[in-house]
Amino acid sequence: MADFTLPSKFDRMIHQPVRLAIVAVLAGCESADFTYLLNATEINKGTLSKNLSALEDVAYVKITKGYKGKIPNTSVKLTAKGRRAFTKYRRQHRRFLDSVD
Amino acid sequence: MDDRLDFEELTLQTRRLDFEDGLTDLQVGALFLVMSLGAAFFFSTAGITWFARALILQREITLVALAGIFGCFILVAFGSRRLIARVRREYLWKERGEIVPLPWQVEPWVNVLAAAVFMILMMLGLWVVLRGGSENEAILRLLIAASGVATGITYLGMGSSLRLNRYLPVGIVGGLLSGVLFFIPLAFSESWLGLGVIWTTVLLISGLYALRRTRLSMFEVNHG
Repeated sequence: MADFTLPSKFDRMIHQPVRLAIVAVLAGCESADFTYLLNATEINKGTLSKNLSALEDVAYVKITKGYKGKIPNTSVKLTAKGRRAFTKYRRQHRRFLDSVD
Repeated sequence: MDDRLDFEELTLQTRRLDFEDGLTDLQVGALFLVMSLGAAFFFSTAGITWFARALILQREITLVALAGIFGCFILVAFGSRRLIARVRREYLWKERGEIVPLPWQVEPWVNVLAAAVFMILMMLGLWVVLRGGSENEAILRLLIAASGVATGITYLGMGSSLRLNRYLPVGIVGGLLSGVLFFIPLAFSESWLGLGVIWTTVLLISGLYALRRTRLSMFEVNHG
């Protein structure tokens, strides 16, 4: 994996490693609950919450709080805007890696 | 979190989740079986005779019953997804958390390739039949065989794009055996049955293998 000292045209919101991990996981599904995101990204609860809020502020993710039976459940979904941003990021990242090679 | 983040792998890992425990294979295999048994009966001489007689005697009831059967099939397909979600939530993914899988799991190029192979096989078969090189029933058999081959290509493509190794033999074996159906002089209804047996068996083996692996890894996690 390349070192992440990349050009300025990269989307800073996604480029940050913790948020990149969150968005990468969400890109592989329709939605994921908080527990899955915790396990898949191996981030602690506080950091995950903080970065999810940041992503929600720019409308990259949609957070829905509800219940599954009697248990509270937080579901997170990548919005169309977030998905587009991630696709663009992947494309730029690949191009960057190709140029480094 | 790992310092060297492989975000492509994180996406793939999440996409693979729906197939990892084998339950989806078992569901698709069961649907293949029900569909092929239904088609085998419907296109058999007995089925056609029964349907024609029912239409003459009770037209409206027969058509409503037919629509009801299709409705039930769709309900069972969606119902089984809910059942799988529940099994995962309560038994398999208890600690891991849940995802809702993407509605599309196959890359567009795989679908295009599968559709292209299907079309090419159909045109080739039509050309052979029109030149008198084969009996007319062969074109109907080809429809079944080409569908099976296209399904095999879809599984191969999924195996390759999701890096899910067990789908490579599933695609190759299922696709090849489906292709063989064309060369066996079976009636149309029997070919449907053949297709159902092939894909149900292949997916059953794949699903049970994956489910066993999942249970073993769960056992390891729970018992150190």
